[in-house]
Amino acid sequence: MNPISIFFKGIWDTFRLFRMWLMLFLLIFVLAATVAIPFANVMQQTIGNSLELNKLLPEYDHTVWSDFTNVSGGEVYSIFGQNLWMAPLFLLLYIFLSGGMVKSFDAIPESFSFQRFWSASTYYFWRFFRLFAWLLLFQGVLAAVIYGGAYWATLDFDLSNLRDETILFNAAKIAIPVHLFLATIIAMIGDYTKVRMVKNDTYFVLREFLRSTGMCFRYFFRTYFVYLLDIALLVGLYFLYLFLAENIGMASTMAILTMIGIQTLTMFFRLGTRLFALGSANAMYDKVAQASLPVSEEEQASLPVSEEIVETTSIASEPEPEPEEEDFDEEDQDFNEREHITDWSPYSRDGEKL
Amino acid sequence: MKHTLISTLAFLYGILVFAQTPAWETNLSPRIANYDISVKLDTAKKTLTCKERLNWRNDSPDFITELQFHLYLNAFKNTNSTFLRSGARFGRLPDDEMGWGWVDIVKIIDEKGNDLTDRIEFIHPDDDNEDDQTVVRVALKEPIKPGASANFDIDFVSKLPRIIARTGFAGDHYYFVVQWFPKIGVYEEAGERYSVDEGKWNCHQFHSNTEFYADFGVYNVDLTVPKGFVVGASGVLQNEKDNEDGTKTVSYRAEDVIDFAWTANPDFKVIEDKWNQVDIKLMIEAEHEHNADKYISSLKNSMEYLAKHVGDYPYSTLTMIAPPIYGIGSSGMEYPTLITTVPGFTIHEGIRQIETVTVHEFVHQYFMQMVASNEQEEAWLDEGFTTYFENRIMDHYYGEKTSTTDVGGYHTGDKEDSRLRYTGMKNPRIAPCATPGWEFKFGGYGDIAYGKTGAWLEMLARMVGTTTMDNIMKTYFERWKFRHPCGTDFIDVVNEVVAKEHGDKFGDDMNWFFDQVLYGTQVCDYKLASISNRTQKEPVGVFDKDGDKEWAEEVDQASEEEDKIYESRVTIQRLGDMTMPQEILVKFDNGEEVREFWNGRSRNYELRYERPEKIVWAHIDPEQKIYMDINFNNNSITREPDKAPIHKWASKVLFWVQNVLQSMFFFF
Ligand SMILES: [Zn+2]
Repeated sequence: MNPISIFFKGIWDTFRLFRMWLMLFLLIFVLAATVAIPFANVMQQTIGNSLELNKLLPEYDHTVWSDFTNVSGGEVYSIFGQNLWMAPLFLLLYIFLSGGMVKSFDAIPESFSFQRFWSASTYYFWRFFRLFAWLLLFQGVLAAVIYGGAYWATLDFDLSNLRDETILFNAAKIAIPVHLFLATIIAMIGDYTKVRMVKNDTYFVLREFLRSTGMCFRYFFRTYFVYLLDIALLVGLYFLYLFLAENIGMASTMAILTMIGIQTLTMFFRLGTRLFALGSANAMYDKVAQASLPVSEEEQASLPVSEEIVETTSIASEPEPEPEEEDFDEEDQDFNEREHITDWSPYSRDGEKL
Repeated sequence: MKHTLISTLAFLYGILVFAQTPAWETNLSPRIANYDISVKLDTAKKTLTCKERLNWRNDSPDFITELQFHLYLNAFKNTNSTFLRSGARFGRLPDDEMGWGWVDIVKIIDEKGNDLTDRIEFIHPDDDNEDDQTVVRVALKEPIKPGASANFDIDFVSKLPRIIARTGFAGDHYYFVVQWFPKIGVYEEAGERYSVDEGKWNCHQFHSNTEFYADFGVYNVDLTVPKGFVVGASGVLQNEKDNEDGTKTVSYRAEDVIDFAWTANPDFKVIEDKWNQVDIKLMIEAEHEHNADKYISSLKNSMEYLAKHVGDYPYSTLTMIAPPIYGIGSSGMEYPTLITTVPGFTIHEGIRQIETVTVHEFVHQYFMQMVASNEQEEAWLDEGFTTYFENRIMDHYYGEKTSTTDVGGYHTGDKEDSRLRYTGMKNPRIAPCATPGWEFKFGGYGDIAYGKTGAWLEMLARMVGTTTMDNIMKTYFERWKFRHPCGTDFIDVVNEVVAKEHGDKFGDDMNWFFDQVLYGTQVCDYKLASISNRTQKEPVGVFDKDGDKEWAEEVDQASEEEDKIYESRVTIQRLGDMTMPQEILVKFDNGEEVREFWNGRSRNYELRYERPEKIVWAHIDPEQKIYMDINFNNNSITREPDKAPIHKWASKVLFWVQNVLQSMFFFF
């Protein structure tokens, strides 16, 4: 269970799901285009034939831009305003598609199938939505605790206690990294929870989340290292973008075309890093589940037996609902019938104790 | 004999008057209102217990039977004050008694020992608010004769508010003390400024937008504060002595100023520097010290620029306060030889707030302090002029398009910011520039007094040229420094200098300009509506020729490309109601550029050419001299537009929106 190889497996698997990747990218691209194209039209209609427009080519010009928005601000802002409702709708769509994404990773080595993608999206939507709600709650509580705590520790919840603003900058220097660290852990556990729920077809979000938490912490350095590599890739991608943007500029048609290409690739690979992380979680889970990692005696001993019982009873008492979709193909049938994996390390998918 | 006696008396009086005149000519100012004040700061009660000796000279030909004083701390006494009733937002109202401020005259005695305390009466010259206590009238027992001076001893207590409108205390030990003492109003004699018919007091209530109008004088102020406090004040430090009760008394003398402000804070460090003869002091807390150079260099830049383009700064000190963050309410204000800027933290080097505010407040030493116009009645002479020079100084030293903000490709210039402040207004017609500050009851004060004035002064400069503009400002400054000019005095200077340097190029005078930009609410917007190039055609139809009718048909000239003549037109529309002379630049496809002039008055205007070349583009006001035009983008049309900028910005939007969307699921 070499984390590096898991990381690369996540990337490799994502490339194997290139059609899914491309489809998701195009979806985002098209949504963005519904803002960019009307914006370009407004610009064309109002200042398209003005000599002032040329001042916006080499760089930003505050006077030209502001005169433009003073006249066409209403139109421009209403176009941008689309984002306000588009963004949450898009998030809902993303939650919907997450089932398809995770299922597609799970189905590897089988090749990508749109049918499987859409049916899994539908099938897992409700539980993934509930997972999202929990994640949102956890992230909200985390942010409130950290920044509220910082506010309390520095100013006792009263801005008028501020005597020296450097205390705020210093608090931010601690609070922001701590927040990012913990928030990414929650996000990572969220990914593992999705993987668990798909692989085991389980329904109880919070329980799966807690189990994923157990797994992630048990193999923390491995799981988080892989997740961190994906984040590092994302950060590196932006550094590369900024470097290229700085050096290429957008002052000529050729440079603009080049930059449009670079921006598109940046967005494509940014989406990629998200999928890489899901792919890595999928691969890591498989590795852990297949216990390619030798489990020590102590670890085996520490596994609570009672949990098994509780789990069994809970599953028994609350049977998984039958999938509503009628058109599952063979693969889906297969995955529905697959045995539940009840824990992360000591059992293989065959239920054989290792 | 009698006649001779009168002549002799008149002669002696003449000598007396003559002898008096040089007395104030050797000083910078007429020194009408002079104060000796001793102050004891009580840090527990946040009070100042003070004794003031006022020496006031009646420079008018009138017998003065009453005095009027500003008691501006009473604006913060309760919500009945005109200041707080105006709904001005200065943060939360105090929720404890300590937060409120007031000033009480305990006793006032004239030099003959007459107690005038019972004769104090609150008045409200600007409104009908009988509860406002920011101005008092004191009826005198004996009138002050023309040319005579009178002394008054005033005991008063000032309770400092928790900082509001710059003044008061913050935290445990930061004090910024302004508008704190009974300050006498200005007695304007008939004919002075707008006091046309008869002499009268000009003493406005404290309103939220404006505050300065006072006579020049000399202030000797002894400040008694706890020993550990670092003190800064208007004027020059005279001495500092420790007292036995754990306090110290710091004495300052400020000559030829219209007000006196001071600060005390044990945490202040004082950084000293020098520019020519001026001792610069920067009072700053340790956490901001690393930014000291931003304050000092921008101050020196302002001093250098104004000395070159306006006139000398004649004082020997300039004290700058960088307030601590918790005293941020005292930021950005001007007092004689003392200014407050902003707390000195930097988020990004390209955000030049420290520099902008420092420059702005220093410019006020010229327009407010030395040229002591009436800020309350004519804020444009004060804030507008200051904005204009702030813009010039910032753009000169920090780049025309980068002076205020320059972060990651986004940049703005101070001058364009000022114009946009006005052109971006929802209602730029809200009020003329010449509106008194307190009449801006429905907003727009800052945009008009600062932004619009800055824009039209820049427009004037671009029209008459920077050299002429500098001569206007130098003449205005030289003529009116240490006096009280009004708007028409400035207009007179403009008319005089423009006529001298440009003859009648702009008409008999520039009043047409001021009627629109200063006294009017007209909006300027010229639009280049269209350009067209049509092949000129031979006339067609039926013509009389040699007694017959001859029909001429349309000839297809496509084959005769070389001989083609185009009838080209440029049409211009005046969308706004302001009229300004315009220049139009027309470019033809052989590369030739033709410059046309138009008085800008009609609603529509057309240029027509018959030439073998086609018009490529036309541009009204290509140098953007008419700086108040609210939309420069509609001033030109080109037949060969470059689509690249649209592609560039649309792609940026595309990229940005994708980023937003992808960020939505970063944590999920
Ligand atoms: Zn100002």
